[in-house]
Amino acid sequence: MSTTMRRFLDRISLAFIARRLLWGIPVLLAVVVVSFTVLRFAPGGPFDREKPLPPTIMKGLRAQYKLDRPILPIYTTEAKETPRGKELAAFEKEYSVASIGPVRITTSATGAANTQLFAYLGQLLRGDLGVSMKYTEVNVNDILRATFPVSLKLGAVAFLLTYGIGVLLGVVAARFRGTWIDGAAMVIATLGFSMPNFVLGAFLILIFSLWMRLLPPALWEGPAYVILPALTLAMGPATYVARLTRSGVLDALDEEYIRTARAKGLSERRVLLKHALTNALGPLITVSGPLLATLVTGSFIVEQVFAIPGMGRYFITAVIDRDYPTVMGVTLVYAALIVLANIVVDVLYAVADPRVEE
Amino acid sequence: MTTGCERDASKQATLRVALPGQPTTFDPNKAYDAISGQVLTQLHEGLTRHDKNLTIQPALAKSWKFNESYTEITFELKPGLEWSDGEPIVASDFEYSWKRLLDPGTRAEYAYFLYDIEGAEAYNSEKGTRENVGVKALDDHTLHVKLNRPAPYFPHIASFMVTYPVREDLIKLHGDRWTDPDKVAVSGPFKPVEYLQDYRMVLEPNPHYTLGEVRMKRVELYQIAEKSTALNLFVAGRMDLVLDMLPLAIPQMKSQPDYYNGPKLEVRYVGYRIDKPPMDNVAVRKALAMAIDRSELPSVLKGGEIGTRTWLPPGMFGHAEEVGLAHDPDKARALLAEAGYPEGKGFPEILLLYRAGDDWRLIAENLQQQWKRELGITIRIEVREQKVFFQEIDGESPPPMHLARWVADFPDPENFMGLFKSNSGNNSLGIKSSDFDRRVDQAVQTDDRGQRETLYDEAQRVLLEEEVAMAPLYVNAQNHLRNPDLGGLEFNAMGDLFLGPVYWKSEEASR
Repeated sequence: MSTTMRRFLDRISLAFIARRLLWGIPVLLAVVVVSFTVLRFAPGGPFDREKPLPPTIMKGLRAQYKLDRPILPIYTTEAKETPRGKELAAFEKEYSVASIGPVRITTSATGAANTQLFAYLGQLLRGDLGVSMKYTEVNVNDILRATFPVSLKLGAVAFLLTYGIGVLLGVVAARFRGTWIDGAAMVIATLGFSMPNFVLGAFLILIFSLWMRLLPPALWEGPAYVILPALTLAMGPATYVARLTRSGVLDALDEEYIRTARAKGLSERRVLLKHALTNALGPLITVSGPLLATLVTGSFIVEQVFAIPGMGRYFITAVIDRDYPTVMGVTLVYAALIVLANIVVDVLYAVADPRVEE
Repeated sequence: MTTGCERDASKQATLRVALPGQPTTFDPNKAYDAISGQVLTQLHEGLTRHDKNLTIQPALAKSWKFNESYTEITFELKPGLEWSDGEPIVASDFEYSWKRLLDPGTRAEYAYFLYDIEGAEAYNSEKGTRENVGVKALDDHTLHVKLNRPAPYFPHIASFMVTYPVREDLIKLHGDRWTDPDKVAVSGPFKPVEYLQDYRMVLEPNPHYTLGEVRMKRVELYQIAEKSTALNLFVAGRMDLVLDMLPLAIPQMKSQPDYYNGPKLEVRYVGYRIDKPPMDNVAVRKALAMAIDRSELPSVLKGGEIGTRTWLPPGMFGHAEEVGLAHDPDKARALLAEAGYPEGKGFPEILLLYRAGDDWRLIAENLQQQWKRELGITIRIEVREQKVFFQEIDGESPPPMHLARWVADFPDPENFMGLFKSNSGNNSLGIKSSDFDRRVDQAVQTDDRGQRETLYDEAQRVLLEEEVAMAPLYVNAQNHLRNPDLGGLEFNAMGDLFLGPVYWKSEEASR
């Protein structure tokens, strides 16, 4: 690395990264507040079961998970005779509450701290994501600790495949612009982009597992078990990367500096890979951050189809189960990764394109 | 299509099972879902258990005896029983377990299962004390139970997972973590050696188990929510047993030796909300029930279901084929006209609510068509997410009709009939009939089968023909895939899974 580059990196790393990280805090806070509130107000609750729970059990569970408290410090009252009305009345008996028409406002600090949202935020500060409301003996921290590394591994492989396949397809298509090779590459790209994951997954399983018997159709037991799901996960984004690469490279090929490079007698291969591809890097880096965050937090469909014990499936199942702490847990991990990935992207972007300064 | 026959010989000792999803708990007292049950029956034993014909058999109990009025029962434990850690299994392990199940602090969904025991309901609903619950270990081998009403079916209750014995010392020591493989002690054929969240549990034989020879050296219970995935694994020879197979593949697998189809004590029905117009008119409820041709449902669902108009399902004591409203479209039209809607004119577009799921959607669509065709009325069908569905049907303004099911907890009519008693917590229909309640209560005062049958027939007629609180649709089926080399694998209509006696036929032959 050249000294100028190093100096440049040092410069952005101090102020730039620190500021971006600090900005991440309000962003995450907003994510928590909004998803928490929306989730709690959604109809149906974690303990609405096919066989209704007896009233005392329901009461105990709601108290244990603090569901009997107001969700926010500001709320509207409900009819006193409803179960919810009774719960709120019990809360109001304990803490001071002011009312403005039908709207109630918790006026004491302890009262506010005991509303569902603030109790959750306090718990988060202690690093505790809470106990799952479906698997009532399991802490969400433990669920994530068990499942996130699996999704991370699968997602990382898929990420590498995405860029490997995507850039290769894109460069080849650009090099042979207008020929049948370009056409074929773009047909593959269009197919990959438009084919839903579960169709592609089923297709790959049929060919490689059930017909050729080369790879396992599902489960998570070793390296061979990563290939098909990672490929399934990578195909969609890879085709997107292929299109970005192709158009970036083609744009560059019309530029004067390419003509100069060619005039200087550089080989076509070198022109393409060094000069033209560099031009396509910008958009490739821009999409890499969110893409990486999405891939490593897992995909419901791919994990479901391949029976992989990752965290991706919780994005769906936990919502269906109204398992509030688990939904919040996976949402937080996803949001934090998006924030982090975007910071990394900005840094990379600055490195790739010296025109970008603070 | 190839099947699971092409197994790897070196793997022969391991039995690989695909469960249709994730168990919610490994704590017997807190369990409520079928998948937890499929795991727990491998790890634990109850006092009794059901054989393949649903006859009650001794398990940890050697025998039991009722008093004359069926209000007290005494269980005698088998001698020499041990937990997987070598400690003796004693009657007080049951006393502790049952009281823990009833403890309101345990928050067990199935606590009501023991409400027949004296003082149980009071304790569970915080109105009584633990000491006043009528279950007591008289000595290490004798468990005495005082009931608050005659319950000749009680030995069935003592087979259910929530009544399995648990260890007080381990629960006190480890809290919620006592079910971890390295901490738990079990009473059943297998003990857990490894558990991976969301993936699988590995079992090995419990060396202290004395109720039978355990032949599998290792069992792997995989949690595979996606039915097509389980099917793929089976076809690729990587699963030996798939529970609840993909319904779409049934026609294809039907002729294979791998395919198992059997009845299940699960009845699906249309529940009416009988206290709101137009459903408050019994003629309307009758017309809707009689317009349904039940034979159409199995041909839509394709899983070996059996149409039924009775509430007590075939295969269970008390089932009587001729009870319930028969399919009679002419009569249905006449009844609807009588109710003020000739040829369906003026009938409001009422709602039939169902929960997310392909099978539920198929039923709803089929019923909608049948009612349109036979009665000329339009029924609105709407789907809800599971949790929203459960909330709405028991909420403040329940829909006029909803699709529901009842899966037997124990194979006795009491379990089905008790559901619609006026005081039942599971009664989502709003039926309150003293005629019905009285007969159902009378039917448990005796163990005379003839007398009980008569009372249940009468009660069913009140429910289905007089009050018409609901319309039964069909009895569900079990569809599994199993390696034909598996011996000793028997399913009963309760869906109980016992892997203890399971063995490889080929291995047995070479032994």
